[in-house]
Amino acid sequence: MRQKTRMEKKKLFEIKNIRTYFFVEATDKQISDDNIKQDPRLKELYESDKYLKGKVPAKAVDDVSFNIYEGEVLGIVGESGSGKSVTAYSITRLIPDPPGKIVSGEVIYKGKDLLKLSFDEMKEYRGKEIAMIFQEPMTSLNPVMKIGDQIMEVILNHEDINKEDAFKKATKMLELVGIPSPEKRMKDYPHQFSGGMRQRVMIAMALSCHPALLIADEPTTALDVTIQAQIIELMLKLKKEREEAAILLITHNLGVVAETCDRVIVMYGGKIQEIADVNALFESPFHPYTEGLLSSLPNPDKPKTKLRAIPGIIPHILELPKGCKFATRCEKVFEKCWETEPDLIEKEDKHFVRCHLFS
Amino acid sequence: MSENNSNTEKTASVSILRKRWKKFKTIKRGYYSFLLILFLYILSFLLPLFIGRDALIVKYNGEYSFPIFKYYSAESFGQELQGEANYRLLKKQYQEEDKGNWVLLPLYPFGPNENLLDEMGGNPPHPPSAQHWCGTDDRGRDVFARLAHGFNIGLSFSIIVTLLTYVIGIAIGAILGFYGGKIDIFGLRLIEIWGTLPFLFVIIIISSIIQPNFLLLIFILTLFGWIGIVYYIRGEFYREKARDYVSAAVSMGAKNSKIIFSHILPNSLTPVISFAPFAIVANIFSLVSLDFLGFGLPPPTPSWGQLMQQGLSNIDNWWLIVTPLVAMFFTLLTIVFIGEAIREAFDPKIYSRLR
Amino acid sequence: MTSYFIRRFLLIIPTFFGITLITFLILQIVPGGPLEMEIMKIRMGGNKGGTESGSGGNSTQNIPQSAVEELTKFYGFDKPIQERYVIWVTNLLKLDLGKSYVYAEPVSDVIVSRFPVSIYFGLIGFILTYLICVPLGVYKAVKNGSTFDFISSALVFIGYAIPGFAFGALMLVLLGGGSFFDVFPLGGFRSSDFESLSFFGKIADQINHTILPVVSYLIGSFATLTILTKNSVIENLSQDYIRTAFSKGLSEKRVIFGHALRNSLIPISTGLGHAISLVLAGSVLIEKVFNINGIGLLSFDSIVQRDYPVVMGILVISTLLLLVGNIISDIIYALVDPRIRFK
Repeated sequence: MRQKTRMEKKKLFEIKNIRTYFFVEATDKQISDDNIKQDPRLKELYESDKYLKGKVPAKAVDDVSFNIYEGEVLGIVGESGSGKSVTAYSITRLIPDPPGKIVSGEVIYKGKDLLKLSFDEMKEYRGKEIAMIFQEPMTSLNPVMKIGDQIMEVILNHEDINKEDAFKKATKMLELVGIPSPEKRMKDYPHQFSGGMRQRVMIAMALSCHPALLIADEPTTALDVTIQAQIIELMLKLKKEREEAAILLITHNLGVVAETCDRVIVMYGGKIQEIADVNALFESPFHPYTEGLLSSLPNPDKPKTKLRAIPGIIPHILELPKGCKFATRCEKVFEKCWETEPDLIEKEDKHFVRCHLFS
Repeated sequence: MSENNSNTEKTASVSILRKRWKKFKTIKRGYYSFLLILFLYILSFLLPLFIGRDALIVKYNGEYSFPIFKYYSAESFGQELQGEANYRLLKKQYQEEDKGNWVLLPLYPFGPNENLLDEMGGNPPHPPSAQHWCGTDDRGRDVFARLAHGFNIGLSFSIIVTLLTYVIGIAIGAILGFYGGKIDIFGLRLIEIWGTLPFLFVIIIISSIIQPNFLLLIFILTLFGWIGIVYYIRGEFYREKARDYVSAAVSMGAKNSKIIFSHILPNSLTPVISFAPFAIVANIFSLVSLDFLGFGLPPPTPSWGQLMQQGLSNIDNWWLIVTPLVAMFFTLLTIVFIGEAIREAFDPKIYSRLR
Repeated sequence: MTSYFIRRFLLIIPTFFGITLITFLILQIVPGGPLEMEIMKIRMGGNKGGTESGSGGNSTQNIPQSAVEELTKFYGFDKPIQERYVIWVTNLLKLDLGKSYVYAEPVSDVIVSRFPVSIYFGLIGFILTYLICVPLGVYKAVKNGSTFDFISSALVFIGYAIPGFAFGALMLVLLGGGSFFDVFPLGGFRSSDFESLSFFGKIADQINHTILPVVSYLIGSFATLTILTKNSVIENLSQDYIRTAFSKGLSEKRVIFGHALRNSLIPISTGLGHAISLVLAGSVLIEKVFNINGIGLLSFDSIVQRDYPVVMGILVISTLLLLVGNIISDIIYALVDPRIRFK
């Protein structure tokens, strides 16, 4: 595990109370209208948007706040459906609308709330200040555009540079991410690359303007195990070009987290359940869910212990319990958990947890 | 917790088809179009009750007869005419005689194939009037009656052709897609030859030589109509065959027929079903075109295309073109609405923006 | 890739002979062919005032046996059918399509003389269709759900529910001087006094004759092409690579036109080859409605008049066009989609 270097680092991004809901066709069982009416912001939305009529909000991300500090690698872990990817997309406002909407919240960067910007103002930040790498390298590149053009497009879009220099810069980026004979490959189409190569292209593209924040959404999930480490290593290496730059790494792979991240956010049911430095989290997890996640990993220190899985599956997003979201699967559940949702409290220094066992 | 589980099961048990049907019902334009055309189509089978020359009931000399079911000569009702009784004249005659005899006519007492020249005078075609809502055609037949009967014939025709082409196309597509290999290669070659045949051209050749009847025309159109579906189903089968659930069924020793019918077929039908209304529209088009060219159903079958053909050669008689066109337009429009709603219910296309 | 296309071209041969054989058989086997028709004509002309019945009787009763034999020989029906097909094919390979029964001219001359008119109307209609429908479809996709989308959808539905030729017929009634307005001519390619008109008169006359048929062509594929384009664009806008493009900070315009559009046009452009071959072959229905003396009307007439050499000639040409059109489609596909490498 890496040594933490973060002392009193400056905040790069402040994410405050983000709520991103997906408005879906109601099935037999409904969240009653009362729920919507009790929430003034939702009520306002339903009154102003005809499209929402007859639909219920699926709370993919519900009141999530955290900071991203300069230079850090922050991981968000959780199962699929926990809201980790939606959280990341909310920061760059890449939520497909309809059905999704960022209902409320703030993303503060350099004193500006990105969620309040117009589309035209926002596009100055995308690619330049915040860049993204996606899970699916096979489909995330435009199949009918040469990859050189796709990389040059970002550079030309954000920098005052002529085509020739942009080409040189793009070629250099390709070289940096380890693509052999980059000049020749600039003229190739995505289908001529393997999955791992395409992800390298994505990284070259994302980092070509040296963004302050790189959001990597499960960048290695679709790749071979042998390539995963290379890709992660590459991201960390290239990040160093800009000192304050941070990485937000979305993954369900705790191994990757342990190797790369400085801090970790654990999400479940659209809510943050635990935030801690990576060492603290792995050594003394507080939340039963985090415990469950960790005990499903093989531990080299205790080779004889049995691996344990968290029982059950994550409930449908519309059927999450009223109290603690994890109550349906928690082994330590007690009455209060069903009734009220615990708050996220700072149990130890910089170690937050959302669980009634600690409140 | 237990409450949660039972709810999950309940949601899962709502079958996909029922869900889609529910969704279809929420798309009002399509749903009402569906009800309307269903109602009209069922009604059109009882058409002689509303639109026709034969009286429903005749009371003559204290006896009741039902000419709508049976042929009666004019003499049997005391009418001085040759051949079959003319019930409109009979009604007038009875009213004048006032002997307690009466005739109950259909609401619109003109048949589709009935020559009205004797009663109307003048030269056909006659323009629309209160009596003949859409006028008469160039042989003095009532256009409205012909349109109404043409609706039933045209719709029945295209529904039958659609069903047949679907059955054949799906069967052949399934065989090619499921078995693959040599059968597929050989079959595809034959189909390509068949599909490249300029089919309108060939249909015209056949029908110009042998005057087709209803069944023969269905046969001919079916013969050339199934090819598009084959390609589709074949592709779907190829795709579905590669899926895990099929390998699972195979590994469990399921029979081929069972795999085809209960596993793959239900999954590959969605796109063809949502395409069916448009196939019906296309088949109505084909029939109208053939009728228009004079190679369709034999005269005197009431048909929209044949009316249009008359209209084109009598360009001054606008109603001969306008009325069948309006009838066809509204019929096809309702079917298109249905098709659009089905497509929306089966395969919704959401346009999301990233802002 | 080259070998793929060579193979495609070679495959034309069996397909082509399959099709001509089928049609040839249909034409030759079914009763009511040119021989019967000719004999009937002679008989009808020869027995003025004769018995009016007898249609079911021996059709050659009034014609000397020798004349029938001569006719049979003239039409080539004295030989067995396989021999006739072989003769036809041999002549075809010598680029000889035979002589028209009706026009007494070589079939190729008859067909070639009709081509320009069909191409004129078909090509204008074709170009206009693509020029209007593709941008409209793109615009509808981008403005999905707007009032404009809604209203133009109504137009599309209407277009779908009216066949092009029927719309043409309606226009003739309304605007062709039948019952209402006399704006456009009843049809034809040009007015009969075209040659005597001034230069601008000629242009006006030509345009006047062009509008209604072209609109009819347009109606025919308006709905399908517009909706195909719209759905294709919408489909592509929800792809992952579009999200990538947005994440790069591109403007919406750039994302749509630079990324989504080219991908969306792939399914549309591959239909081009097929569409072109249909255009060149003319439309029987529209040419009949507007009395345009093109290939479509020629094929209709020659079928009615049992002018079998012309029927076969048109079949040969339209089949070849279709087959070549399919290959053109493949070539276009390979050009616009770099992923396609035919093997």
